[in-house]
Amino acid sequence: MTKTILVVEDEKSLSFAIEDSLVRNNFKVLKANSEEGATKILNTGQKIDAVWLDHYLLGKKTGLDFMRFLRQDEKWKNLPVFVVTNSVGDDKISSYNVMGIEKYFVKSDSTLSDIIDSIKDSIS
Amino acid sequence: MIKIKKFRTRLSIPIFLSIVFFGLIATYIGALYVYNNLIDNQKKDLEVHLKITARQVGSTLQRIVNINNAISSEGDVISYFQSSHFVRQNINKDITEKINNYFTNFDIKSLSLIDLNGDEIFSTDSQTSNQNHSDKNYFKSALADKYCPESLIDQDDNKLYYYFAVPVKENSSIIGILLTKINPEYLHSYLKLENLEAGSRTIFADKNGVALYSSDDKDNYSYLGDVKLTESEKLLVDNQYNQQVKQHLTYDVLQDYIQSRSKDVKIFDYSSKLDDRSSEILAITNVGDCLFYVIYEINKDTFVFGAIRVALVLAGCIVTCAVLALVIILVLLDRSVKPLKTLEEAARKIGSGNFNVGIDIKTDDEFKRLAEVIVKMEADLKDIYANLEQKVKEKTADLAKFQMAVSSTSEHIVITDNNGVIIFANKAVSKTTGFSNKEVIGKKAGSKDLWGGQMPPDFYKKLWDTVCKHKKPFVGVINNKKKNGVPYVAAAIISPILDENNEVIYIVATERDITKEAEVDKAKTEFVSLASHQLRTPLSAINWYTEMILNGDAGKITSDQRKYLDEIYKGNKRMVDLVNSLLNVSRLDLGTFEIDPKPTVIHEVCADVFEEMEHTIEEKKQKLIINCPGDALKISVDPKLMRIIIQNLVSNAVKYTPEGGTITVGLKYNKKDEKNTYVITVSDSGYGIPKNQQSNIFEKLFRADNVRAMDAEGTGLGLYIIKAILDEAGGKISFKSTENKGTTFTVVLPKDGMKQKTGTKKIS
Repeated sequence: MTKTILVVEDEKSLSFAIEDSLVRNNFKVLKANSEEGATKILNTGQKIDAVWLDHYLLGKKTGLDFMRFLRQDEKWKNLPVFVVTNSVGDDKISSYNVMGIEKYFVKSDSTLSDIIDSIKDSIS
Repeated sequence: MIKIKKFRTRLSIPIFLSIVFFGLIATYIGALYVYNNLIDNQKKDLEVHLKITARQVGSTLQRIVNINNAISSEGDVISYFQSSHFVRQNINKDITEKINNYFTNFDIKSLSLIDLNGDEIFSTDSQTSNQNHSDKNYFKSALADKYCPESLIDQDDNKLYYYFAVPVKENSSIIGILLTKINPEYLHSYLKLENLEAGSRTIFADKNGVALYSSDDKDNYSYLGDVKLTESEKLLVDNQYNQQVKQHLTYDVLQDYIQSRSKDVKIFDYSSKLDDRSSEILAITNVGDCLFYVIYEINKDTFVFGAIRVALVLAGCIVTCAVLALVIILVLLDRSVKPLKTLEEAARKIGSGNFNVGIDIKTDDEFKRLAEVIVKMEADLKDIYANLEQKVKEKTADLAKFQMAVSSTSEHIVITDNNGVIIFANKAVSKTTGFSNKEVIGKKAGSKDLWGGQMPPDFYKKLWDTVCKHKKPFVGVINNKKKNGVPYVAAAIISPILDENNEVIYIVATERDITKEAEVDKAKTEFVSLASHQLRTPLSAINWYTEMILNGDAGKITSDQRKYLDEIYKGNKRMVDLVNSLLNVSRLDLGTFEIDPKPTVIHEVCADVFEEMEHTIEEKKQKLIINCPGDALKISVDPKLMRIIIQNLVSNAVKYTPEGGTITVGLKYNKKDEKNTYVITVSDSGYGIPKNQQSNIFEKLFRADNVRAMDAEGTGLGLYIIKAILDEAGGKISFKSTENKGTTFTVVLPKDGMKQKTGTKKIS
């Protein structure tokens, strides 16, 4: 069965590459470029199997705000989240880890296939 | 002046009082001595008088007996007994005449002749004739040829008489008795002593202790003391004195003496138990072979008064002497104290700082010597003061400099006692905190009342332990709050000041308000963080699209295309490394990165790095040798920085060693070498560093020519970062390298590991 991934990424060029690769790997992709957009998609009630989340997003809110939103809602509490970002601060990494994420990837140090393999391992 | 007066009083009053006190004691002893002496003398006098009186009375008694004997041997008397009644009538007148001749000197009451039946055959006293004497003691004694005068009260006239009876003999056989009755006044006249003191008296007593005569009459016919006679004996005595014997007196000692028939002169100290009469002296002796007793009774009061008189005179003399002595002492003291006053005045002037005081004392005694000493002292003091003033001035000037420096420096400085209570705060304190000096002094540093209390309690405990327990300076960044409530950040150094016993006496805290710097740092950090994010984003795009093309996502590519895309991919990877390293360098260059050492197992750090490098090492078919001691080494280091050091060294070795080469990592622990306790070596069998470029190897962005020519990847920042970290952390890095043979890098850390360093930035 096709798994649905919600990709929250503000950078258009990267967003394309992610979508292409995920679709090629038989995932269904829903895209948002801001926290508000992401919550909107969640609230439509579509089935989502995992979230691909960047830290800096369009608008004032960040990926951390979205995490908080997810973790306080019983429906999304256990939704697997893969943080893929270029922000490498220790504080940020530990903040995400505290809220329970599957894995933290630094974009520039990771290949798309590594990340997609990791997602596949987690949710299959 | 007041002090001198006190001194005079202090000296004179005790002397006066001592003279009076000891004088009075001497007076008392003297009076007692006089009293005892008077008594002793009186006793001796009494003894003499008593002996004389007894002798006189005794000889008078003897004389009466002698006269009686002479009369009894007169022929007329003898023949009177032998004559018939008729003849006697005729010779009565002759005998009376003869007898009267004998008794011219005696007050005789009567003379009687008594026949052997006791009948009176003749008497000069016509009233007593025809009396029978046979039952009388004197008659019985005379009949037995014994001399025994007796005192009796005559029943006729109820008067006391002394009866002297002697036998009349014819050819040694007793033919009758001659009896004379003597008036007592004659005998008693010997007993009247002249100059007797009041309360004193003479007593004449018989052999039973009955007083016959007392100079004050009232005790006549009384027993002297408790009498020890039988009832019949008492009855006889009663008859003897015509029933006039009274109760006994209290002189038991005398009664005992009489009863014992002692012949010595005896003197008693007597005090009556019955009445209040004061104590007395009693003297007693016998007369006429224990027939009678003479007694003197002297009242001791006389001697007490005598002693008191002596005492009063003595006391008067002593008090007079004491007053005179007091006057003399005061005069002498006044004279002696005069130089003392001069000295006092001089000393006072010297004391108030006048060192030009002359002392004029002319007496050649201790005072003069004292004056000389004071003058010398004055000169010495003058010198000392002069020097002292100079020294104090210099020290004060020194102190003032430091005070000024501490007071006016822009650094906030607080000094506390060893309990943390503030005893000094400089001007900068009120500038940074808003609290005035007055509000600060006496309060506890770090309390919420002041600018402190904004950190967790553990922080303050650690601070206090470091300074007071471990006696080491505490360095740290503290969040504080100004008086107006505005928070600020301070970089603080808090150091203990120790005394010679290594005990904390003061604590000095220096703080610098780094709020602005912290804000700037924060802004910079934010910028760097954002910049790194922004820089990485396009690199990530290149990365991922290249990856997708290489994966054939956009269709099949030719081998040439693959080759070129591989170059793009590698170049992009180097670019990412460069960005990461440059960001770290920018933090290192700011010098504000943080070193936060904690006990770290080095093996674990190494293992983590090897795991990360595993893939590359395998790809290059290199051999990794690890030489570590069996025990896991726990070193106090910042684990992130340690990882950067090891990661850079190992990745360099991998990068600059050709395929199939060997990389060796070693860990060593030198227990004895405090400076080089931990040694970490990373060796490779790689290209090495050209000799002429070895000195530049730690420079920023420097890359040796041989590796640049080989086009091996690298940023030229790794070793620069390692050295910058170790320089701050107290470690060292060195290397040995031979071109085309290999290189060995050696990192050493001291026993205590990395030095702590506070800062606002972390290196990733």
